[in-house]
Amino acid sequence: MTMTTKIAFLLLGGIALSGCSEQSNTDAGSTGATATEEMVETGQVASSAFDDAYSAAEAALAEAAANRNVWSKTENLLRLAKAANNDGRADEAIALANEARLQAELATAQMVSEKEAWRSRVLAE
Amino acid sequence: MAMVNYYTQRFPAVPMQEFANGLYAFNEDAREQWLEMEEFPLYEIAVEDGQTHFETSFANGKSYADCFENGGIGIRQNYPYFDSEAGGVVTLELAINQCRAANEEEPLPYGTGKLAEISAYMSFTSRGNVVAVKVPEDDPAALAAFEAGKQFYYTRRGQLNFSCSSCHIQSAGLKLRADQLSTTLGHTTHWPVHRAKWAELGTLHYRFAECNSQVWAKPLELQSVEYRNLEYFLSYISNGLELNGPASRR
Repeated sequence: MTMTTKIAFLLLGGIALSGCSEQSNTDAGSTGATATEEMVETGQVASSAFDDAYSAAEAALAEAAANRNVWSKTENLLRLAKAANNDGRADEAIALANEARLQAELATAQMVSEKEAWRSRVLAE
Repeated sequence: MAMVNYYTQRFPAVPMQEFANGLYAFNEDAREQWLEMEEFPLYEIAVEDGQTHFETSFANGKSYADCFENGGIGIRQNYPYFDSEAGGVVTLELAINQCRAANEEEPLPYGTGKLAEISAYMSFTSRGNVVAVKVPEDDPAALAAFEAGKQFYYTRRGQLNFSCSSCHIQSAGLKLRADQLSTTLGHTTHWPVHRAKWAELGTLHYRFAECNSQVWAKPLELQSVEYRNLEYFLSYISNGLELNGPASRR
């Protein structure tokens, strides 16, 4: 086989392989998305879930602050959540945000409960 | 007063004035260490510095003495008081910064440093004076501030769910790690305090913030309405005791 013929076979083979690769990407998803596009879409969903969790935690913290009873670990949990999200650790970030929200909700519930409960501890005259 | 009766019955061997010394009133070992600290107390330097600050004129030529009755000497027993016109509790530390504001000086931080030193000097000049905090019964706003301070004292807060009363009524005299918990009676007579733990002098509100941190509650602002109302309540409880500040604590 001459050199020219060998080069022609290599070129033809490359074209054929690139066609296969496009074929497999097309088969992978019903939307026809590429692997890269799927990763972007998944990342956006995760980002949205984190944003929701973070916003909910912020709102709960604001309510606790309005009740003048923020637990001391809560704000740092939110900071850690944001850092985890920035690092791409979405599941961890959402868990941390949810923990912060739970703490803030409990702090508010504590103040609601204590609004009357404190009286039971007052030493009787 | 119910709280005074509670402590005198719980600690019948403690003379009334000794409650002003906190846990050193009923812990012999700690008392010995405390008396050693009091031989060369570190707050003495703060008192001297405080006197210097107190006697240094403001830029406008006036001084702290112009803001306080009796020139600011021997007056701590009257603080805090309820300012009916302003509608709030005025602590001595707040009054110091109010004096500065009235003379166009920048406010000082409320926890440690220069303001604590001025407070220490004013406390020192008031030693032996009898606490005489007034809660006028004909002033609903003053009564409300007192009640708010009382509510704060008895309210559980923070992730550890403690109230001030959890430690200082229910557990007074009992051990918390290496220390015994002090009584609320006498809590406010000896401030500001040089705490060995802080390695510096700190005010009562600085301690409030630390206590809140210790129950995993984010501290409120020093001299906030809540802390001033709390000081109002606590100080009233100690009416009749002699002032003995500033003091050393570990």
